[in-house]
Amino acid sequence: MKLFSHRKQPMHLGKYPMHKIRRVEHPTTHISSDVKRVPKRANMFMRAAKGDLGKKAQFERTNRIAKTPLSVALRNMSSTHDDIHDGPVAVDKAPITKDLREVAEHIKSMCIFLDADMVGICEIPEYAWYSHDDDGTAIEPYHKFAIVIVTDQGFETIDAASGDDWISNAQSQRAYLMGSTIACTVADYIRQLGYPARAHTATSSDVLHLPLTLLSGMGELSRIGELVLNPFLGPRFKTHIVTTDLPMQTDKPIDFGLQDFCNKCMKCANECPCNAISFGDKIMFNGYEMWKPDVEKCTLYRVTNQKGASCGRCMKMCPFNKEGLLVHRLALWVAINVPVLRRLLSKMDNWFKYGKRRVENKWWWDHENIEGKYIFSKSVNQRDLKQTLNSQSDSRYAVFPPDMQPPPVHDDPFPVDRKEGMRRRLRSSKPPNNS
Amino acid sequence: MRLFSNRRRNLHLGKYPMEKLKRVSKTTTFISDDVPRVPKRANFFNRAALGDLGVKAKSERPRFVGKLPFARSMGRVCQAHLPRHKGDPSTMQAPIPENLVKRSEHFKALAYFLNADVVGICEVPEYAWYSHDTDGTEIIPKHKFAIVILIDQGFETLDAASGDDWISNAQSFRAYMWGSNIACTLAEYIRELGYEAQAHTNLESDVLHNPLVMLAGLGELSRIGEVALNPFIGPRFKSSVVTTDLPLETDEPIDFGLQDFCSKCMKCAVECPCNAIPYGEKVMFNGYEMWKPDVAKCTAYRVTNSKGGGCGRCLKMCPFNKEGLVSHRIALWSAIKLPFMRRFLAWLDNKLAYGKRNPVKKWWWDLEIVNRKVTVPKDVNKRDIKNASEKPKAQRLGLYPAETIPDPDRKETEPIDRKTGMKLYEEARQKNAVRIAAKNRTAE
Repeated sequence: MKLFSHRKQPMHLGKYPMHKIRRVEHPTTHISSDVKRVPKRANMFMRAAKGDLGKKAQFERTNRIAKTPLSVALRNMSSTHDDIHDGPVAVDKAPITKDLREVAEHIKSMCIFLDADMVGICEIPEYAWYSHDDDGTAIEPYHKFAIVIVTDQGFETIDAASGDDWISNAQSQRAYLMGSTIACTVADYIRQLGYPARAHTATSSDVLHLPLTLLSGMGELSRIGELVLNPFLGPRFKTHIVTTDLPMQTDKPIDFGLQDFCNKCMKCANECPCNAISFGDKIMFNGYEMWKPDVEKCTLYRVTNQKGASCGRCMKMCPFNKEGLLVHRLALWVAINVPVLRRLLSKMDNWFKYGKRRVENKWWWDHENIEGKYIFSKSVNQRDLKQTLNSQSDSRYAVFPPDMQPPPVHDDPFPVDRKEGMRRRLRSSKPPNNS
Repeated sequence: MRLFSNRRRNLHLGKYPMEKLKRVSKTTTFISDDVPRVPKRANFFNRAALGDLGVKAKSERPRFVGKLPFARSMGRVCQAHLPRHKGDPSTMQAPIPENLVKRSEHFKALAYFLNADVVGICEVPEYAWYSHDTDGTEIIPKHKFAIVILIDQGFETLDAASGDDWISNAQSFRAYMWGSNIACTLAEYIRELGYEAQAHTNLESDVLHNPLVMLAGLGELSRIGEVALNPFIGPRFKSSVVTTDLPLETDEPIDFGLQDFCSKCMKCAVECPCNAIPYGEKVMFNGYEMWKPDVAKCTAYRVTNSKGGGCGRCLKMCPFNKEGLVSHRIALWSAIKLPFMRRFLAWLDNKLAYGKRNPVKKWWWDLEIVNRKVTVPKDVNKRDIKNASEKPKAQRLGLYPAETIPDPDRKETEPIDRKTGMKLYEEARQKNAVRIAAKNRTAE
């Protein structure tokens, strides 16, 4: 129940006051001019499927990819969209406005109308395109603009979860299905207007979502690493992208002080069940300044988790993962505008026991598919809050830069060289603007 | 931005305090025990397609949705879901709790997790099943239970619309598309657990949704007629249904005083652009005692609307179509609890200019596909509010009960008989007046 009306706010501004967040010319994390494009084969989930992370991970990734009935249902639904990501473009261009701002506002409003939580638009840098498809064919960048659609994974259910129990995968799949629905609709609409457009979703994407999320002003890179964080939703969202040549006004990246906040807050690193998130400083990785997580550990844990389906505990535990009440907005305001209080806010988050499971709200069933039969799973990850900080040194993390990744086509396992990865981590260069 | 936390509210209770409404054992609309089942052929959109409503409606019906580029896009997504409506359950049944209440709470929570707006469960009466499919094959009622899902069409966009302009059908399809997402996911999930389940959406449904919406306690039938109305989202929703043989705990119908409210409020009837909603009393129709609109007029208007795509002006203008602010909840509370306020509230709604289009919220482009080309339409319906004191005009409504509908497998045109329809409406009106008088006498 709301107190104040939204009737005076134009549709394209959406549910959250993103227009009040400071905009900057460049993302708050440095991106160098020599980011290397990577093939889809280098994606860690793909590597797990090909056996690069070992037999166990390969088996789990290929045979038990959806081991709960709800994940299966949601995946089956998403796969019905396989053939509608792209399609023929109308021969004649529709008589629409030439005003780029109006076009951008129209498309954003449409996404909001379709229940997107946020939308941003950016130009696509070449490095955001995968270099090669699954089958090894080279991908030529084909569209100029990206519409980045953000869907919330939902606070209420994650509130009851540990992040790595039996609902985790379904939470992702839910957001993927919703996003795919929106992205496929918008792409089809743009094609009807006479401009090419393609949806890029969890089931099929020629672009890397992370740089586009950053460039379209949907968030900043966080300590979690391979994850952009939004001030209002925290890390609790999935992205879905429509690439197109429809000319539109673009957005700018945002700065809400997250680089400093994450410097002072270790909650995700401390709570990560597989110690994959760095406690240290940012490094340069393939041209990005970032807290680089140990992607091998993270993927292995998610793929082989036996007490749950996958893992999203970092986004559950992040202090920015909040219900969005007035009090949380006040805290957010302080986090953005009063840097000296950031460390305190991050501590307070633990004092208030945010991150503890609200087990009375648990509604899902802990089903697990064992050899073709669903049973109630015997074990489940029941984690709450850690009380003490238990930092790990940088030497325990591995990084796998492009030159250590498999070539575009490689059907046999291309084993991860962990030792070399750990050496690379220690040798990695510091970001230029790390002051 | 909210003030109070929902963390103490279990997910299965949903977004709206439906649990606080009065529950009743029978629907507030009288339903006799001899409701005839009808074939899909009798659905007025199907009748329009086969020419029963005339040449113009027949030629316009195929482009009814597709003439709006946006609605067409959503239609494609809905089409993609078609293969997931039905299917065989997996051969191994998963263990699930014995407790029926726990089961129902689980499926409701799941529907809310998937962004449903209101969810209820009921048994499916036989009359809620269509008798015959579009091809004339008989439909055998197969599942005992229905999970009924309501999807809000969205206040903000409707706020800017007249209800019969160039966004109307897209609004319907937005709700249909989410409804299809939710219902098909639920049905897939139940089948994956090893039980039979079928999704029923706007594209493909073996059940009539109206009785199920009522029986699952999601709304009462309103003056609009073929529309159930929910206290919190008014008539601004679409429904989708999952039928299953998995035993569940059912809900009871609700009573929030709507029958009395609608008897005192004429706003939808006054504002209907084709004068299809009755100003008068309820009549008996196919076993339901209801305000029966002229469905032929309504369908013909929607299908042949040349200044917009479709029409949902009744749901735009209804006083229950609100943003859901605290002030609206207070008004709702008095509408439910204080019967003498109802006439005043209906009057106040007009006085405060609710129903006027809000230009701040207009975001869509008026586009129409003509001969496979996207064009700017020549005209658009721009309606605001009519003077409430306007005298009810003479109304000539037609009634098309089960005995007048075409055979289930009839492929040819069977034009509606307006004259007989009007005669039947008049007879029904008189009969019901007698029935009510008799009922009142026995009450005395």
